[in-house]
Amino acid sequence: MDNEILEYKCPSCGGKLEFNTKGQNMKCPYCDTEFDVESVKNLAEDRSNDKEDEFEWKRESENKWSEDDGMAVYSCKSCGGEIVCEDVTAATSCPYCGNPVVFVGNLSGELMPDLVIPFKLDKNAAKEGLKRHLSGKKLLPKVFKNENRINEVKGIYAPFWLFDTDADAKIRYHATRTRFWCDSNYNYTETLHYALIREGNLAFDNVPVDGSEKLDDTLMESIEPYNFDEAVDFKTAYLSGFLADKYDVDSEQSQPRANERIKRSTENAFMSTTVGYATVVPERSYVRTTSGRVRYALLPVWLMTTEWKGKKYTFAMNGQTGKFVGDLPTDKKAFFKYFALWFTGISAAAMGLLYLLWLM
Amino acid sequence: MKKTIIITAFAVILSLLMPIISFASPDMPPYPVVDEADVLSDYEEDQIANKLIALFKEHKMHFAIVIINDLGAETPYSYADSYYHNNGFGYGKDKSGILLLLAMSSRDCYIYTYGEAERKFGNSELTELEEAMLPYFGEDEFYNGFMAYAGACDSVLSFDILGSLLIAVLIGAVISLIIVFSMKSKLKSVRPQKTASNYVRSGSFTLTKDLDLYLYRTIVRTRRAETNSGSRGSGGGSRGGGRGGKF
Repeated sequence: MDNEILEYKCPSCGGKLEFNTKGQNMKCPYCDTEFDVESVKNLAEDRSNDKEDEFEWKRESENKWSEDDGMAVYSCKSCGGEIVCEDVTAATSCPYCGNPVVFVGNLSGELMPDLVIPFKLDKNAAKEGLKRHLSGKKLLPKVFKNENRINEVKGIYAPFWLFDTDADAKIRYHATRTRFWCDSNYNYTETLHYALIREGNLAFDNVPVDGSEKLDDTLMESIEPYNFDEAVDFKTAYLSGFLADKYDVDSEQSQPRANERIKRSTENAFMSTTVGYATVVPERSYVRTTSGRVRYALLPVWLMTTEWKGKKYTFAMNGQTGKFVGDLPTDKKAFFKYFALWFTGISAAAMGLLYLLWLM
Repeated sequence: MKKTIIITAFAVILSLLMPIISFASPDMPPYPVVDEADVLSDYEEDQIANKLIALFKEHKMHFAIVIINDLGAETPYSYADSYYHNNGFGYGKDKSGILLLLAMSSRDCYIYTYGEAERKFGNSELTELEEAMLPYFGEDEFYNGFMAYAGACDSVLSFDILGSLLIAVLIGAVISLIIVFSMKSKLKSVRPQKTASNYVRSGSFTLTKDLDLYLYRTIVRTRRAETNSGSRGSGGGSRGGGRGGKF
């Protein structure tokens, strides 16, 4: 595999730099010195000239793991330990010394992302998000809440395809207006029928579609939206201290999902112009996208998993906005208990109300 | 939790006790049975009167039965109306009561209602009374007919505990199911995005064609429901409600 490991060393003490979500810069966890991302990038470029060292681990990985295995082996440049990971991994940490490493080969050439939204929220924020997510839910088993042991909190830059496009649409609706009146003998209902024709266009920017096979598409959509005003040009330095994968679902495979969402949004926008009618039913909808542009981006996601009664529960938090999602189990006993309480109370109140109505 | 249980239990007990809260025995209105046509034996008349008096005590309105031979020149409504008011029928400030008039020669049967009774005995209730008694009157079984009429009056005015309980249980089941399923839905937060509306470029929506074409119209005509003429009398001096027919 033609890949290289990129690490960011502190120019001050030689420690491994990590991306600082609060300051939006690089920070040394050992001497607390902070550096500008651009400066660290220049340093990284400088370090990347050391071709011979990189050549060594390439040969080693090719000997032990084939591409078909879907795995790759690298050697940590800090401690020499062997890093075994999936071949889509773009950033991880050394299992021996814990130093963050970035595999540049998975982030260069065609695999180089166009954009990245840096993490704004750290691991503690993710843990707090989980606490909030579990609170105030009366049907959540107490044991799950009390004994909840999160296996791991992973900050991951998830690969996404971003679709920009202009959507031209022509939609025809059948609409009706209704009027009622009566005379001494009959009730009348008059229905006026119309054909509504709407043509126009609508533009979309950065419609995201999950580009990772192993990340659940619905989970990734649940933590939307992202604010792409805060997206920046990709620099590997942002990945330091986080996990990252390269895409393994290409943009072509992702297009149908983007088309589906764009079409529905376009239809909704056009439907909003059909006011003043009793009923409006679409008869024919034609949506065509033009000037389509696809970009590759890495977006920040905090992932947490836990197991309960043999079932795996995955939680995700938007690393930019803090939106937290994750399905939770239901306490069946609590479900029936609350049902019985509400049922008894409401039935008694209804009985009393019926009696009062009878008295009146 | 305990507080909720106590409040709930109190509400249940209160709602069940309300129908049997006692009330003071009211002053008696005129004797409830007038049998000028002599279709009832003395014993039957007493039995019916006792039943009607019991109804009066329970429901605080006057229940009367008047059986005459002939209406003369009057309509059943005007006869019943005059009889009711000229003989001091009714109970309470609004003179509430229900009078069943039978004219034997013309076989007219009229239920006259006044005051609170007029409101309590609407069309559906009057139908209930008619369905209970008219089959007996048709066979000249007047005692049974009057007893069935009294029973139907009691049924109409009594609080239908079983029926109400069924309705209350249904309401309770439906609302509580909505509540607990709404609580359950809070446990699910992983949902796909149906649209891309968050990513619409601001101000980009433009309509190049916006046409509303009128095509045609349809008119549906349905006959109006007949207004029931029996709910209120139409004779001179009309004051009460009711309706009647032949038996």
